[in-house]
Amino acid sequence: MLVDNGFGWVVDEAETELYPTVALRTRALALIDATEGVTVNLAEIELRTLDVLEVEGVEFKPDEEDRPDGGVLVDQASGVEAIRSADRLRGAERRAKLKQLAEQRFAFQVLRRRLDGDE
Amino acid sequence: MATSSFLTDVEAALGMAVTLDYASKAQQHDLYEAYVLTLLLQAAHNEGWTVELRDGLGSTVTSAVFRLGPGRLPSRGYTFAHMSKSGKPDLEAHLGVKVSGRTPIGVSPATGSGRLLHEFDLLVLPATDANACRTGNADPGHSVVVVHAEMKYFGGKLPLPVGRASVGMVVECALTGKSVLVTNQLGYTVQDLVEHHGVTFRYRVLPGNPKAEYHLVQRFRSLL
Repeated sequence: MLVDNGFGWVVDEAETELYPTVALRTRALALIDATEGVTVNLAEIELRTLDVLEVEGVEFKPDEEDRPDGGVLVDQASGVEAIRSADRLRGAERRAKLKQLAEQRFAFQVLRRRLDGDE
Repeated sequence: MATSSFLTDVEAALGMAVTLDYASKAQQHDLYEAYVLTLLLQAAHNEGWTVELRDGLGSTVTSAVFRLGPGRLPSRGYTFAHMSKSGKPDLEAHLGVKVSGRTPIGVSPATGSGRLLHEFDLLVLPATDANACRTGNADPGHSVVVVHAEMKYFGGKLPLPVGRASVGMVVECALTGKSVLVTNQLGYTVQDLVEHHGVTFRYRVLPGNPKAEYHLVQRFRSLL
């Protein structure tokens, strides 16, 4: 599910510190945590950031003044990010989507409880 | 309800995350940086600092623009926090800017300072030094750092190389006692390593964990 949605790198990070022989249940819990991290938790992080900074939106753009002699170039991937940011959700529409995503925590809690054998 | 129903909810959540651009590792990392900046600003507020968001021209802003990936402090198009407090020199907080370290340039490409540059996820420095950088189109030197923070938004426990990088930065930029490593995860080996070298480690820092937020804010307060 993570890989199909473009989050394959999250799977790698979730499994990096797991022993290869770890129980399937432990691996499943790690993946649930990681998935919660890239969905619900990030939505809460963005909502909190907007509220504390009291701004309408937070944008991220590559620094075009970053020069080769500065030692770090804006790479091709960042350039792609800049193009994608042009059509990203903004304003009230984005905030509504963030709230909708933040409300999905229950599903993760239930799955975790079922893996723990509490349900 | 059946487990499959909750798995469907999780799949829907992933779909929403894609719509919000969260599949980008860089986007996630930079968003976490902005969140940690809000905790620094909360610490500053608690310590009696007046905080104002500004752009590189000194104007106040209604929408924040931060750097995607590393950048330079003199770049004008990015938001930073200006902090003032009676009896104290004004400070500025920047995200994702490069700072010159101690190592002189040898075989690597030339820099304005003649020293290697390193990206700081969060940098607090005196406003006079930041102004000098903007005026002279220069990168700040490590000696003017008031607070440094590295943020790691990870999908699992932090691997030890993260700690090694943090220690390397502390040594290179003489940051002992000024540096904080902030993460949404745990990382026991990383914690042992960095704390041994004078870096504060704050873990599981998330909006849903007020205790962790409190401890980070307290650390920032002590550094301002």
